[in-house]
Amino acid sequence: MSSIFFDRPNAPAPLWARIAVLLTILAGFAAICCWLLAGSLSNWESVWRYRQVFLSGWLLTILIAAVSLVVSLVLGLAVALARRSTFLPLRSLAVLYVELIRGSPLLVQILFFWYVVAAQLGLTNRLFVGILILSAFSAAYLAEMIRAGIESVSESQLESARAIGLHPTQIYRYVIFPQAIRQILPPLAGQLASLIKDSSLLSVIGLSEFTLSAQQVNSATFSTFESFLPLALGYLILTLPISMFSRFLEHRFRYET
Amino acid sequence: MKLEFQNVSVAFGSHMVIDRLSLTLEFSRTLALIGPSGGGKSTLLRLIAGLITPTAGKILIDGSPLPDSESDLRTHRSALGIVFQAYNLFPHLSALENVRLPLTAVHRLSLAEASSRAMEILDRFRLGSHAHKKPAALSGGQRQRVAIARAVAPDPGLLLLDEPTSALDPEMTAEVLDLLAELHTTGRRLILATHEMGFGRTIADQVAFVANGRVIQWGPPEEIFSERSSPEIQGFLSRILRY
Repeated sequence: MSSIFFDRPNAPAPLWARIAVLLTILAGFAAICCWLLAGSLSNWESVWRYRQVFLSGWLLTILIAAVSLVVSLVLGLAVALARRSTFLPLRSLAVLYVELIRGSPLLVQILFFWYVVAAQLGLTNRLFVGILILSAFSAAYLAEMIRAGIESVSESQLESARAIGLHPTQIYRYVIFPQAIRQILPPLAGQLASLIKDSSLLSVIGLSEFTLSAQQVNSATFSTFESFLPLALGYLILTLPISMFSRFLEHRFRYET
Repeated sequence: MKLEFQNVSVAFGSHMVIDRLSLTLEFSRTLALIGPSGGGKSTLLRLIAGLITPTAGKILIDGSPLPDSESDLRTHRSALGIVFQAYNLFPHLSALENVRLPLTAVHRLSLAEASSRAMEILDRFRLGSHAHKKPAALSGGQRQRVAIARAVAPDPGLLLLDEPTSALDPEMTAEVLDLLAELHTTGRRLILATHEMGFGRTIADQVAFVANGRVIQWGPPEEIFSERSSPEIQGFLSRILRY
C-alpha cells in the first residue's frame, strides 16, 4: 500500500494516485495563497475597471513574443552557422556577439540600445526597437543551442552523407537538421518560455506591454497585489502550455531513433 | 581495373599515415585489402573514394587522375558506392528513405522512380518487409545490407567496402558476406578492406597486404596466402589464425 505513491519504471503509480497527489498539492497551494494574501486582497473592484488595460498589455506581450521568436530563430540559426564557419572573421564576430549578449544583463542591453543606439540611429518606434532588442538577446542563446544540436550529429554521419555524394547544403538539409532538431526542440521550448517572461523588461522603455500595464493599474488604484497577481497568472497562462508541449516533445523524440 | 599511386602521402596533422606510396595495382573484378588495423587500409579506401585528398602525390584510376576540387570529387564519389564499417545509415530515415535519398538528391530521379528502384533493390536483398523500418529497428546485419543496397542502388561502376562486417557477430557477418558474394557473381567490381581472410581469398582476384602505411605485397590470393609470401604476411596470418 505504501508503494502506490512511488512511480518507478517497472512499477508505475496508478492513475488515481497521480490525480490524488496533483489535487492535494494544488489544494494545499491554494490554501497557502489564500492565507498569505487574505489581508492584502480587497480592492478587486477598482482593478476590474482596468481589465481592458490588462488585456491590451497581455495581447501586446503575445505579439512581441511571437515576432521575437520568429526573428530570433532566423538570427540564431545564422549566428550558429557563422559560429561554425571556417572564415575566421565571421566566426570571431559570431563568438563576440554570443559572449557579449549572454554575458550582460538584458536590462542593461535594453537601456543601452534604446537610449544610446536607437537614439543615435533615429529609431523612435518603441515596439520595433523592443522586438529587435529581445530578438537579438534571445538569438544569442538560440545560436548556442542550435550549434550544440548541429555538433551532436556524429562525424560518421557526415562521412556517410559525403560518401553518397550530397553537397554541403544538402548535408545540412537531409542529414544534420533532421537529427539536430531532436536535440534542439526541448531547450528551444524552454527558451521560448524565457522569451515571454523576458519581454516584461521592455516595460523600462515605456512599451505598454503586460508588465507596464500592471504597473499602470497599480499606480492608478494603489492595489499592488491585485494588480500583480493577474500579471503572474497571465504569464503562467502563456508559459505553462509551452512547458507541457516541451515535455510532450521530449517524450516523443526519446523513443524514436 | 588499374589503380595507380604516384608518390602519395597522407598526413593527419603531424602524423604521417601514408608516406610517399608509389605503386600500380591491377585487378579484374575484386581487390581485397588485408592487414593489421591501423595499417592504412581505410586510408587507402578513402583516398580512392575521394573522401580525403592526399597531402602530396597523385592517384589515377584507369589512367585518369582523381580531381582536386571538392565539387569534382563529389561527382567522383557519386559514381561510386561506399560502405563503411558501421553507422552508415541515417537514423531518422527508414530503410527505403535511406536507399532513396541519393537517388533523388544526387542522381535526380523523380520520387516515384527512386521509390520503385529502391524497393526493387530492397526486395532483391530480401529486405522488402523491412523497408519502412528505421535503422534502430533493424539488426546489425540488416542495417549493413540496407547500407549496401543504398550504395548499389545508383548502379555504381565500383563498390568500396571498408571492413563491412567488423562490427557484426558471426551469423550477421555470414549474412552480409553472402550478399557480397552474390554481388561479386553478378559481375560488380569491388574493393574491399576486410579481416575475413577466407572470404577475401575466395572472391578476390588480387589481394594487397597493407601495413604501416605501405603496401607490402600484392598479387593473386594463391600467392599471398601461400608460403611464398613475405615474412610480414606470414607473421600476420599466423597471428590471426592462431585461435
